[in-house]
Amino acid sequence: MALLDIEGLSVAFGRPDSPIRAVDGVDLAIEPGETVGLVGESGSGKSVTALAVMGLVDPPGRVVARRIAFAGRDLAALTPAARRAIVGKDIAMIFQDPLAALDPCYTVAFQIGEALRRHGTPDERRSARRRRARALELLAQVEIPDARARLDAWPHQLSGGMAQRVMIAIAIACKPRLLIADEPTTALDVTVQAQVLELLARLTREHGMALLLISHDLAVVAQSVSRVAVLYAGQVMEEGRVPAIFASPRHPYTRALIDALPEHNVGRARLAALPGVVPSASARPPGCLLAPRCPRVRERCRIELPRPAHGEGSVLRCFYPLVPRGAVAADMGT
Amino acid sequence: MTLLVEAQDLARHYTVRRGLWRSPGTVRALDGVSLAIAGGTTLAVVGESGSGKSTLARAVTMIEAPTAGTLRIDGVDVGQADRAALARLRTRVQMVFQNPYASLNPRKSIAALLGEPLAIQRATLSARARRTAAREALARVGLGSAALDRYPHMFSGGQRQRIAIARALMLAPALVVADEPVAALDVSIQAQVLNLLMDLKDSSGIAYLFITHNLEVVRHIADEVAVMYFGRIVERAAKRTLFEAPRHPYTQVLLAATPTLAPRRTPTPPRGEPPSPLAPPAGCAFHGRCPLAVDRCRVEVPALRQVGETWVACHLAG
Amino acid sequence: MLIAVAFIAFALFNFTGDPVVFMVGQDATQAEKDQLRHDLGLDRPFVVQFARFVGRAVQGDFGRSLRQGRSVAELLKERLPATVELAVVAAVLALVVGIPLGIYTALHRDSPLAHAVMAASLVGVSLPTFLIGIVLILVFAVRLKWLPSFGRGETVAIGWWTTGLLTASGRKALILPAITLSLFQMTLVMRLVRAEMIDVLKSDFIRFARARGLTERAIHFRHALRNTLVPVITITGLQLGAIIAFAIITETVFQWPGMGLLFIQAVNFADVPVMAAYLCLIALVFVAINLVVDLLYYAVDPRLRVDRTATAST
Repeated sequence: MALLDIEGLSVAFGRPDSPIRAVDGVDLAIEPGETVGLVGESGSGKSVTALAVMGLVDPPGRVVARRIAFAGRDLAALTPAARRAIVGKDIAMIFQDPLAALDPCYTVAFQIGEALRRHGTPDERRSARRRRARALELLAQVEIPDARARLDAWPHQLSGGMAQRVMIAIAIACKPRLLIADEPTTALDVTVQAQVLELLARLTREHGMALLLISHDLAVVAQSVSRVAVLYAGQVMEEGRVPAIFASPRHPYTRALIDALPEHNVGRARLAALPGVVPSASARPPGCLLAPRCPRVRERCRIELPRPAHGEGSVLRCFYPLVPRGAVAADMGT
Repeated sequence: MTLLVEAQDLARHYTVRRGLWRSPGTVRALDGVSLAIAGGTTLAVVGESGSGKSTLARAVTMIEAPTAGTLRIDGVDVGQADRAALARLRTRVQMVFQNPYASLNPRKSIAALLGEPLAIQRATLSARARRTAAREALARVGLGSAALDRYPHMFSGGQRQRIAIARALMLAPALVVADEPVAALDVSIQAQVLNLLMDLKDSSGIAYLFITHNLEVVRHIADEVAVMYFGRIVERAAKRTLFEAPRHPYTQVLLAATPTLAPRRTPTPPRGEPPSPLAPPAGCAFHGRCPLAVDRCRVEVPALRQVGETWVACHLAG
Repeated sequence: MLIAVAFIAFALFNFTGDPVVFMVGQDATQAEKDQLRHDLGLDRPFVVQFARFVGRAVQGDFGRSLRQGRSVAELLKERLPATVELAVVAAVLALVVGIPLGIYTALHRDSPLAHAVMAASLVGVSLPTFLIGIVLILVFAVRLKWLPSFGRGETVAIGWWTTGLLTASGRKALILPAITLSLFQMTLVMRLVRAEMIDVLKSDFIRFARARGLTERAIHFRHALRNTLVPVITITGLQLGAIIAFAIITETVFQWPGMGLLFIQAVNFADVPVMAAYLCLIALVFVAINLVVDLLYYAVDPRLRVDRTATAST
């Protein structure tokens, strides 16, 4: 049984009679211990999807889903209080800007302890000393140098990388089974990004924790997860295993994202750029959402919305997909 | 041939007050940087936050005077130039910023935004001529003249960056200093803007000082690359040389840390984080994170010297 | 700053009227007036007068009241407790009512009660203080006869300080003026807390707190409220000074025997030493409050407490 099972998730904003769909019928399943990436450009709905799982979509946003199940329990059917008992304990989430995500008025130890006091073992809930010891343990786990001295540090005394480690320590404090990381390294420098990605990889491996990594950066996702879903304008365009999906993408949008990377254009004068912009959530084309920008567009694409086709470990939403190319693998080596 | 930009030992130090009880500290945001840009070429400056790359951009655009060193543009010493010469030099260098949302005044129409540099620098031009020039600039960045009477908020991030580029083009500059111009844009939009910048270089011989943290972007757009760390250039070389044979350990770390689509895990991620600017380490600023550091690195600041085709500031290179 | 206020106060009143005319009768001879003027030092050059004023003021000697002939310092000392008690009670009232209302309206933005409170607060901000005072007197003193309409009631002396808080009549007399004085500040505090809290509730660390499954209570009070209080402290601190200054109107309406009333009476008689001393005292209060506010910052906001650079690096 899948750890997280999302079916037909939609999130709409705006007036009910003219909804603006930020997420439009997303299906996604994550097995225990699996690492999954969610990539897309801004406005693709990747962050809103995560917030919907966490139950953090604020009004006026409306979440509709056939099913959002975690470990067999339907999250949507739970009372807010029952849901909060799962959120933060079994599902944890970390955000893009670590310095803004920590409360400036409380120390590192307090903010870690707060999670333990709410969701920890009975021992941890009772004893402040036990919580402090566990906080120290966690800081060491996320490889914060001189962890003991950092316990009583305030968030503003931390560098961005350090703050991201603290946020991860808080998130894993209660041994979650799923960690959702929303652009966890976007605000960090390249060298620090590499450290944080390595840390996330180690933690998922050691704790058997599943990871949903949300990023706009294909390369970051390619380095970190085993399966990827590509989102465009609130819909999953393609889903598949890494590295196959990057070596031979089937959807023209995935192909375009890869081709737009400078990495793939070494020696070429121009980057292969997809023309135009993502359609705004309020002005959707009637057919395939990519149709206005797609280099392979045909008449049918403009009229009819393609349904997602499920294959073995893969999903594809396209009438005229690319033929898998063996030659691409050689291309990757350059 | 005179170089377009020639900087000798540029330095920019800031004094930072640290409350009542402690003496003020000095931040060496830029510490002895020398570089040269020939007309029509692109120098990419790579570095992480705090490396001084944006300070360098502000110095070269003459927004901020360096505290030491000389800067020559078109062979003219900026520090010695009189007002008239300085005004002329300022039209030769234009800047494009990272955040296209913040760099365009939301209350001005595109025509007004683009006309502004002309109104200031070429006061004799009629309003009509300014509008015509604005239309031409928009066409060069791939936007129609319908944009003229709209306002910045009506455009997407990529379009706004095009408009910011168009504004930089209004005075036909010889050098455009671009500070992370694509960092805030989506991948597909980023590619569009990078293409535009390269087309402009080909068609009008503009030179770029391209400030970025993204090595992949550098790989695509640069002719020459300078890698900065902690206010200094640690390595400078032609693009191909730098990517094929990086000589400074920091450049190597940076290259290894940059994620790629191809599965290429770094066996050991780089250690530590950049030191605090108020407590600079002695010797080479990188020694605390350097896998190769020896005793000499902890004491002596390495000078930039030529090794093969590369200029590198490392005791161990060569 | 204090010197500047003293100078302005002194200069202003030096040119506003001739106290001598008020002090002696219409039929006094010029010689009598000149003699009085000389006795009071009013015939000296302006600069000399000011220097003498400052020199004595720093020793706590503000001269003698031109009207009552008593030492100004003594007069102020006598009136100070009444004003301070009124202002402190009003400020406490403003905070005790304003902060919870601000929190409530921020958390339940769309509830009918919140809308009603917001509408009522508009009235609070826009009604002039004297009108509120008069209406309160009309309702509670004249119609219902529950509370006295003027004066301070019985007071108890503790050393030189007199307090009305220890007697029933003193407490009763305090109610209406305190409400009048605090109403404007109350609405201000409420609106400020509401606006700040709504802002804070949108911040990333609140979202992260939600993502940790913390209880609403912890999120609202431990995280949102604490971060809301930083700007609130500044404003209410500065407003405490304003309350003391605004007390002039309230004290006049309720004939409250405080410094404000003293000042108004002094103005009527061009009693320069009293006016100048009052203004200097108010300025002193503002400076003192600013200092306290700065110190409070350190208690609430850790970012100011610890040197950022000391531990930023590894």
